[in-house]
This record gives sequence, C-alpha cells and structure tokens, in this order.
Amino acid sequence: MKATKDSPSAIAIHNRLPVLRAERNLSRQELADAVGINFQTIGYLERGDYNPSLELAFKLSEFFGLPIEAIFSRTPFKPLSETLYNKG
Amino acid sequence: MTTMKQEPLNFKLTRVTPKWAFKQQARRILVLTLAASPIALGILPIIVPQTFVYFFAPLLLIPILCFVWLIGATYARADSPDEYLDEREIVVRNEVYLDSFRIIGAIIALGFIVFTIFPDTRIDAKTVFYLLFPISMFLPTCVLAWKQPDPLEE
Repeated sequence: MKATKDSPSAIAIHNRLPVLRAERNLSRQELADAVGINFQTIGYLERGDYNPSLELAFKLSEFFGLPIEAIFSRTPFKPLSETLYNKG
Repeated sequence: MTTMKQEPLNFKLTRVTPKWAFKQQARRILVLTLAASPIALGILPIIVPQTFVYFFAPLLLIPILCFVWLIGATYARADSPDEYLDEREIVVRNEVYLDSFRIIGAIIALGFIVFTIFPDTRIDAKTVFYLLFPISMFLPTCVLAWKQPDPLEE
C-alpha cells in the first residue's frame, strides 16, 4: 500500500513537480492527463501529502525527460538557482 | 477492438450535485444531517399527532437528497471499482473502507457492551439488520465525505 499523509508508514518524499510544471507552463490537468491520473493527485503529490508508486514516479520521469532522483528525493531539494550557480 | 466504458450511474450524480456541496464543511454538514435524520424521523411520530404525520412525509427526501449529494460531492469514489480510480484514489478508498469496518466493529462491540450491562434488553434480528444495513451502505461515502479535504483548483 502506498503511503498517504495519514498513513503511519508515510515517509517524507520531496519533489520538484511544482517547479517542473511551472517551467513547462503546464496545468495540473495537463500533467495529470499525460501520466493518466486525476489532477487532484498532482496537487497531493506537490504538497507532499501523497507519495507516488514507483510506476507513477517512472511515468513522471519519462514525461519530464529527467532521472527520477531529479524529481523526487528523500531530502529537501536546494533551490535550482543555487544548484546551477554554485556548481563550479 | 476497444469498447467505450459506460459511465456508471453514481458518477452522473456529480452533475446533479450543487457546487457548494463539494466543500468539506458542506459535506460534513450533509453527513451530520444524514446521521441525524433517522433520529429526527423516529421522534416525529411521537411528538406530532398521528393525523399530521403524513404532512411530514416529504421530510423523508432529506436523507435521500443528502446521500445523493454526498455521492456526487465525493465523485462516487467510495463505491468505484479500481478501473475508475487512480492509484491515490484506490489507497484513499481502501483506507475509507478500513475506517468504515472499524466504525461498524465499534457499533457491534457497543451493542454487546449494552447487552452485557442490561441483560434484559430485547432486540430482534430484524431490527439489528435494519440498523446495520443502511449504516454499512452509507458509511464509506460518509467517511470519505468527512475526511476528504476541499478540492483543488485545476
């Protein structure tokens, strides 16, 4: 069983979905249609109220053309600007 | 060849549900109204003279309307099969059924406690059935309506 916020087994999975969606100018509905889920679920994922299954994580990774670890992480993401400009 | 899956009847109820009923607060009021209506309808024949009882018959529509709106406001997710739900909705539906099972278990346990404390209590099997059947029918939708937060904007 996948974890929702109320589940005792829920672990915090951080994600960059809001940033990626905003970058591509996508609505929740458009992203949801692309990966075959309800748009409410995108909202739950973005807020961290629901942790995706491996299948859904792969679908999102394929849709954005990014590795899963670029979208989901167990530790909070640094801001993208910091990651880009402090690289070298 | 693929065949189009026909929309189930309970999904169509979403379209006849007023917009205000989708808010969590409104859903909770509907759940409380649905829960209170059998008590109110049970008390009515006692406090109202027999000849006037039939004037209140339209009040029976209140619990029916509440339940129809609750199904619509929850997008019938408590009663939908897997193929109409995404993975989160399946998890939520299963959690709702678990909660409902616990509530029904608690009601039965409470009944046993009452019978233990008051051993002279007499209740026939039909009454138990008429009590538990609607509860088990309505409970998953009511639990979902109670728990589900306000819907997000698209």
